[in-house]
Amino acid sequence: MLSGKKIQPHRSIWPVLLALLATAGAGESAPAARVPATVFITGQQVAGPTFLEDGRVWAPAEALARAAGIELQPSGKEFAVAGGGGTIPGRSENGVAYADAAAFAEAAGGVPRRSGGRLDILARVADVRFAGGRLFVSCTLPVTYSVHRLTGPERVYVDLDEVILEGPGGETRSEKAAVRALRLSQYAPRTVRVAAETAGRLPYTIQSPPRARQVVIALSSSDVGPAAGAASGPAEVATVREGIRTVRSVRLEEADDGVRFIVTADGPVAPQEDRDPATGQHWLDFESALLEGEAPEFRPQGGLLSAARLVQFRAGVPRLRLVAQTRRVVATRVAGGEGPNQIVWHLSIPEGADGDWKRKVIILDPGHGGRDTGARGNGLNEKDVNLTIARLAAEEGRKRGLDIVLTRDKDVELTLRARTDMISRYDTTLFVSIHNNSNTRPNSVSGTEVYYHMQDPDSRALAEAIHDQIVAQAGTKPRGARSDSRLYSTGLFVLRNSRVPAALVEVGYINHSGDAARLKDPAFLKTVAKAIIDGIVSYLGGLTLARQPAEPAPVQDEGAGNKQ
Amino acid sequence: MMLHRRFRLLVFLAAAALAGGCAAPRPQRAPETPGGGIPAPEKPAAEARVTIFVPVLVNDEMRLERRSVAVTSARPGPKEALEALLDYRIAGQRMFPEGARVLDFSVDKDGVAVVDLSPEIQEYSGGSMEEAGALNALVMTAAQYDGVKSVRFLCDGKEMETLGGHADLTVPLVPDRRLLVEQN
Ligand SMILES: [Zn+2]
Repeated sequence: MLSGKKIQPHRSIWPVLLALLATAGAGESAPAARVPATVFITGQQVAGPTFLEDGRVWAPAEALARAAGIELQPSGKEFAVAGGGGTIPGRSENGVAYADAAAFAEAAGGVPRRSGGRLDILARVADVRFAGGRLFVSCTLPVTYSVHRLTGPERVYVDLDEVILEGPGGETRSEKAAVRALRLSQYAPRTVRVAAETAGRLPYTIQSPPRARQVVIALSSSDVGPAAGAASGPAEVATVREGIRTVRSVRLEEADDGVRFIVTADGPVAPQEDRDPATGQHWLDFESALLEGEAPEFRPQGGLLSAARLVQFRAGVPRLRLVAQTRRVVATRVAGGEGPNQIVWHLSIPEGADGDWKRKVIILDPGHGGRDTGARGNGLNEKDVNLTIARLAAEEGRKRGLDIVLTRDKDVELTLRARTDMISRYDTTLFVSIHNNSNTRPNSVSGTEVYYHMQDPDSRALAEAIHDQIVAQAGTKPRGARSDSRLYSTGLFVLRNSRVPAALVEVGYINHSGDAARLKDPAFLKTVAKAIIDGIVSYLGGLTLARQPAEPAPVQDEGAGNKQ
Repeated sequence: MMLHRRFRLLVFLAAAALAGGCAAPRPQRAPETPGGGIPAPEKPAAEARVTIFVPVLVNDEMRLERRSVAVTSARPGPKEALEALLDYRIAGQRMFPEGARVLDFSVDKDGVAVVDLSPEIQEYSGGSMEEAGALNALVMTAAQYDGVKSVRFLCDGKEMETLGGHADLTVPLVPDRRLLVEQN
């Protein structure tokens, strides 16, 4: 409003200036009619500037996609939802892409409800079924939920917040199954209740995160086979149906930046993804699923896959595994396909890993510093160990041709915000935070964990690559690449606020005497530092995977681990 | 829900004691203290108990377990429960810095509980797993009260970026019931 002129206001001109500002404000807001607005996706507020203009509520596209846990594809000024319908009007302001939040809701399968300056995006129920001793409730958007128990008759129910049913609800009955009946109803204006009437009192275990698109409740002891429960029904339709899906076809498509498997079944499927760090195999397990016809033969031609196959578990067990053997570190994700009965498994070259891997800017962030010591124990302060490893890793990385930036190279206190702010100061490719752990009980837990944010496929690939190198080279106990949603539903600060693929390494436990002894050994720290760089380089494509069996290893019966 | 029942029981006991001619109800002696089972005779006799959730290890993973601890307040609420947790010791060690208190506890219309902690909380240090145990314990303890869907932490009325240098406290934390050892 005062742009162009630099005014040094004298005390006496303040009233005049304020009056000018007031009129300028009134004059400007009338034609533009922009007012602040709030957008909630199933109860969770969307971050960033959100506003109402021209009758539409606008929100940063990235924040919307993140809160909804879906991918937005820009097409010109508009956006499209992967696997969803329709286009979403977009606009750009100060370098930020905004999307029409109500149109986004529709495309993502949600229901927009506007009241004044507040837009609530509610979810719909996509599918409810009981299979393999587990109750699966799928919604079109991530939802928060609570699980309760009632007696007479015994039942467990799940209340889904900010969800609406479009139909009248319904009931599914089956006298033989562990779950006698499944009931779906609009319990409150914005709460859907799924009640599972059980044959006797069954223990239940919640297996999904606090905010999830698919709520999974195990309703029986683990010794119940996958085919034990067989009551299922699609949402809002009261029919008894077999809980077993038939996979009709699996197709492999290859492109320069990755491959995808397109799986079509006779109903919605929700496969579990897992991998074997030792062999470089990735797989999808389809529980309670059978294959129709012969297993397809895959003949990958590109450079990413060396082999792939679809295997049925031993006869009589309805479980399928789709295995892919990769030649390099890949980012994997499962997305919706055309229609509700199709899923697409993408295995692609991760973000930032295209072209020459050298001279990429990698930020290494030694955790803590100054007054913040981090974990303490066995005469060690985490901040010092982190800094030593980061310095050694920087040296190793530079020797290999990487452009390494350290967030701190001495013992100083830095806010977490200051660390992630450095990402935008450089042409950053990756952000890797270096930490060491502690637990509430000394000498209880030991080993290496590497965290990535939520379900981000690229960050997960980075975390897996670093984790695998550390445990292979330094011989620490593998505790896995882990989603930070296991610690908090919103994740860890530096990972949540990183705009590039990011990982947080926890090399070992400072308050475990065995880990601490190794963390005092300079040779061990040097090995860890090299392994971190090797992990980064293998992510970027500068290292091929160490072990590559010619044939995917045989599938074991109990091999379907749950990945979180 | 359990707390309400406990409170009703106390009222009932008080009424029964008065009817019996006693001047005041004799509070039940608490068998356990926040110190982890060591009686603290110098403290005033406990008048009530609160439920808190504390971190435990199950198969080398952090989980939360329910504990009932004695407090001196006659009608303990969320503030007292959270302070009992702030004073809780595991294997003789405090989880939170000495002197850390709850300055204020409120719940807004969206179900966000706002826990305002005293400045001593800034002295906290710990690894990511230890911090997650401590924070999830606070969140689960706060979330047992009616209407609490998520928990936001402040320090002396101001926004907190983090507790131990890993967690993101600029957003409310949602209770994660997967962490509970017993879910039913
Ligand atoms: Zn740390």
